Amino acid sequence: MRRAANNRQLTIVIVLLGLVSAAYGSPLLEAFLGAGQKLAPAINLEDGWGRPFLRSGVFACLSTLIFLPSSLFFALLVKDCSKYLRGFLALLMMPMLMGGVALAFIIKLDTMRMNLVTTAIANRAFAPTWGLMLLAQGWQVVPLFLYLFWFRLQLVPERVLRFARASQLTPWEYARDIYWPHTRNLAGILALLGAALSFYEFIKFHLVLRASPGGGTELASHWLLRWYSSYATVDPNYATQVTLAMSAVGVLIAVVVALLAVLVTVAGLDWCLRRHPRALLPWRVRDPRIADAVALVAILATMAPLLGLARYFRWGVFIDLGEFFRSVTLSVAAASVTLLLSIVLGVCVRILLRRTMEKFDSRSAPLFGLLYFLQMVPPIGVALCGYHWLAKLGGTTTWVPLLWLVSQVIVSLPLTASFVQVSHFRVSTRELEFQESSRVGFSDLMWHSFLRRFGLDYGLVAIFGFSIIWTEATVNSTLSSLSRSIPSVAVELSQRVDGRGASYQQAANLILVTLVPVILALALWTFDLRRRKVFSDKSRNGLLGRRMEG
Amino acid sequence: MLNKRGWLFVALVAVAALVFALFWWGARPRETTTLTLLGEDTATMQAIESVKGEYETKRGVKIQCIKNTFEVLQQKANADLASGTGLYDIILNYNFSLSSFVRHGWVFTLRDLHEIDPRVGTSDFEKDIFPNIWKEVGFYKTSKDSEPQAIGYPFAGNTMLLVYNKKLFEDPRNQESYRAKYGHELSPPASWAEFRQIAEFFTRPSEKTFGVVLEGAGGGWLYYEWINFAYSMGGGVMKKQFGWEGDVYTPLIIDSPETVAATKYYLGLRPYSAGDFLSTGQNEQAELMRSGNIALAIMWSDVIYSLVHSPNGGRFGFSPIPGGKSQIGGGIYYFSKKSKQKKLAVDFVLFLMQKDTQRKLMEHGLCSPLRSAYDEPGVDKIPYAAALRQALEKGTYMAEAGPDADAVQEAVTLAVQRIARGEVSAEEGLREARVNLERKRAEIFNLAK
Repeated sequence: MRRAANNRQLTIVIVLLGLVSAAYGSPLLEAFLGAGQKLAPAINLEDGWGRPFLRSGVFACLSTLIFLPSSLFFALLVKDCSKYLRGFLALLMMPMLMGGVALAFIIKLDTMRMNLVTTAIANRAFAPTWGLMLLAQGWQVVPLFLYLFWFRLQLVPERVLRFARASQLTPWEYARDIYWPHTRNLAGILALLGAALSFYEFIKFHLVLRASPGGGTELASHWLLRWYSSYATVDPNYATQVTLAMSAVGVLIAVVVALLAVLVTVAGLDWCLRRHPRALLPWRVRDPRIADAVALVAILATMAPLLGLARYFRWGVFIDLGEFFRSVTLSVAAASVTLLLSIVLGVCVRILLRRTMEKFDSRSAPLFGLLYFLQMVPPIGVALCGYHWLAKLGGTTTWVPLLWLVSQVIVSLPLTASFVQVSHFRVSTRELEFQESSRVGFSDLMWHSFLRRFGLDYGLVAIFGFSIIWTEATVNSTLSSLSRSIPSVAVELSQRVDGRGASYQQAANLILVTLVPVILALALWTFDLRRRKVFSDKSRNGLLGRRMEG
Repeated sequence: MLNKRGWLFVALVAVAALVFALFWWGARPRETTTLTLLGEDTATMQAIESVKGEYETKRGVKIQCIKNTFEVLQQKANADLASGTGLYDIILNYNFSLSSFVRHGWVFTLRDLHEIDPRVGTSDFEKDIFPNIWKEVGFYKTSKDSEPQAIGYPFAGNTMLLVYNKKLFEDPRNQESYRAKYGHELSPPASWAEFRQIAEFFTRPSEKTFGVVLEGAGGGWLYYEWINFAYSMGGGVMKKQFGWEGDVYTPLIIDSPETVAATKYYLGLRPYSAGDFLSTGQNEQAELMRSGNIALAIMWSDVIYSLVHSPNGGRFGFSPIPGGKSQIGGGIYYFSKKSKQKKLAVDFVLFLMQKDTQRKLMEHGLCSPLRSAYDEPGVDKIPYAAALRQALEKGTYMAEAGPDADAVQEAVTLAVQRIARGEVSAEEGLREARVNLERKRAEIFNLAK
C-alpha cells in the first residue's frame, strides 16, 4: 500500500487499464447478474453445457500437459543448433502468427482427401478424433513454444554456464539446475496461454470436424454459439443476455481450468526434473549434431502442412491493394499502442508489485489469471460485447475506429502484457530496491532497467501483437463493415474459408497475402537477431546471455 | 543524430499520429447519401453488388453491401434491430427470422411501406412472383388472430437441385455397363430408387470415383439435405402448409414410419458417399464435386453459380431432385423501422424487383423469384435455369421457419448423426428426437408469447 501511495501515477496507470478492460467485458457480468432464472434453461437442458465444457476442460488440460513438456524437451535438444539454422528457426512461429482461421483451413485441406484420416474419424471414434485435434492444436502451439524456449535458453548468462562447465555438470544436471530454472517462468505463462487457447478453441474443430453434439465433438465455444443461434430466432435479447451470462460462467471455468493445467504441468515438470531427469532426457542435450537434426526436422515438419495450399493457388488480382496497405498500417498502429501499453503496464506492475511479480509462482499466477480474463472470453462473447458497446455509442459510425482500436488492444493485451511481464522477471527485486534506495528517477529506471535491456523481447512481443490484430476475425467482423478505415482482410479470409460464399482458391490466395506482413516481421526479427550476433558461433553456449543481461 | 531516447520519442509521436489518422479517416462524414444492405455472402448479394452501380449513377447515391457469413449476419441483424441503432436500412434474411422480427415490431410490413411509397402493393411484378415462394418466405401473422400478410418481397427463389457429373454420365463405357447391370439407360435419376442405383454404380473407391457426396455436417447442412428425402418420401418433421406456421400443438411426424424409412434410405447411401460424411457441408461438397469423380449431389441453387463458374464447371448437369417435390428456401428484404433512408430503401428494392434488373441479377447468380424472368432473353443460356424453374414451380414447404426452426434443425441433426454413428437405431433415435423436440418447443413457444 505504501508503495502504491508513493507511486500514484503508476497505480493510476494500472487501475485505468484494468478499468478499461473490465468495462469492455462488463456486459458479461451485467448479463450474469441480471440473468437469474433465465439461465435455468441453458443450465438444465439435457442438451446442456456440461459435456461441451467438460470436453473443453479435458482438451485444455491434456494439450497443455502434452505440448509444454514436449516443446521444452525439443528446445533443449535444439539449443545448440548450427548458426545456419538459427535464422530459419523463426519459421517455427509461423503457424501461430498466421492465425487460427488460416491454420484450420490448411489442416482441413490436408486431411480432406486423406483416405486414411477420413476413414479413421468417420464415426468420430475417440482416439483418432482426439489424436487429430491434438495434432492440429499442436501444430499451432508446439513450434511456437519450442522457439520461445529456445530463445530463452540463448539468454542464460555466461557466468552461469561457465560455472556449470567448471562443475562438469551432466546433461540432465544442466537441464535441472541451469535450463529449467531459466525457463520456468516462461513455461508457466506458456502453459496459461496454451490452456486458454485450447479451452476456447473454436475454428479448428469447427472447420476440420464440423463440431456438433451428434458427432460428440462439440466444445464450449461451439455450444455457446449454437445456443445463441437457437434462441436468437425466438428472442434475440434473451439469447444475447443468456449467452453473455453463460460466457461469464465460462470465463470462471476457463480460468480455473487454465490455472489447474498450469499447476499440474509446471509442478509435474518440477517434480520430474528433480526426481527423474534421466527419464526426460535420454539423449545428450548438448550434442550439436542432434541439435541440427532436430532443428531441421522441426522446421520442415512445421512448414510441411503449408504444401496443401499449393494446388489452390491461382495468379491474379484478388484483393484491393489500397485496402491491404491500409489494413497493414492500421494493424501496425494498433499493435504499437498495444506494445506501449504492455510495456507501461509491465514496468508499473514490476515496480509496484515487485515481490508478487518477481517470478511465475502461486503468488503471481492469480494475477496472470486476472490478466487473461478477456483471453478466456469465447468469440461469441467478444462479439456480443462489441455489439453492446456499439449500441451504447448510439450506432454512430464516428466512434467505430476508436472502438475498434480499444477492442483490439484489449483482446491482444493479455498475451502481449504477459510476455512482457515474463521478460521483466529478469529484473531482480534487489536491483529495483537498490535503484529505489539510490533515488533513481522513474524515467532513468525505466530506461536502464527495462527499455534498454529488453529491446529484443519487445520486438518479439510487437510481432505477436501485430499478428493477433492482423488475423483476428471477431472484432474485425463486428466492426469492419461500419467504417472504411477498419481493416477487413481477416474478415474476408474467414468468409472465403467458411460460409456459403467460400472459395478455397481465393482463400488460399488470401492466406498468401496475410502471410506477407508476417514473413516480413519474421525477417526483420531474424535480421535483428543477426545484428545482435545471436547467430554467431561465439554466442553458442550462452555467450549472448552476458550481452543480454547487460 | 538522434540518441535512443530520441528515437523512442519519435516512435511514440509516430504511433500517436497514426492513431489520429485512423480516427480522422473513420470519423470524417460521408459525402453522399448511403443506403446500407446487410446479407449473407452468397451469389444473391454478389449479384446485387454487380448491378448496384446502375442505380447509384441514376440516383446519385451510394449503396453499401455488407456481406457476412450466416452466423455473423444473424448476430449483426439481431443486435442492430434489437438495440434500434438503424445501421442497416435493408436486411436480406431468411424466413425463420420472420417470427422474431415481426413479433418484436422491428420491421415494416408491405402495408406499412405502401404509406411510404404507393407503388408498394400495386406494382406489376408482384403478380409475377412465384406465389408458393412468396407465401413461404415472406408472409407472417402480425398478431395471433390476424390473417397472414406480406412482410417483404422475396430476394430470391431458392431450392435444392440435383447436380450430376455429365462427364461420367456421357461416358459410353459407363452407359454400356450401367445398361448391362440394371437393364435401363443411364440418365439423371427421376426416382429415389434410381438415385441409389446410380450412386452404387459409380462407387469405385479404388478408382477414386464415388456415387454421391452427402452433407452430414451439423450447422444445418445435414438437416436441409435430409428433409428432401424425408418429405418426398411422405415423412418429415411436422404436417402443415407453411414453414412459419404452427404452435406447440402442431403434431410431429418425425418418428413416423415414413420418416424412419426415409432416414434409413438416406443413411444407406453413406457407403457411396465421398469425403468425411460428418464434416461435409456445402463447401466441402462443392469442392469434392469440383475436383473429383463424383456422380451426384443435392446442392442449394444459390451456390451453383460459383460451381458453374469454377474450373471444370462445364461438366455439370442439373435437374430437380427425385420424388416430385422441391423445398423452398430463401428470404425477403426486411425494411428496418429505424432506417434513416426508408423511401430510398423501398425505391432500391423496387428497382431490384424489375424484370430487366432480375435478368441481369440472374446472369450474376441470382435465383429469381419472378416467374417471367426465366423467359427473358439470355436466361436460357444459364445452364441450371430450366431445372431451377421446374423445381420452383413445384416448390413446397419442407424446412421449418417458425421460432422453433433452429431447435428442429438441431434435433434432426443430433438424431441422424447419432444414428449414422451407430449409437442408436433409426426408430430409437427419431423417437428420442420427438420427445426432446416436444419439450424444447414447449419452452420456445412459451418464451415467444
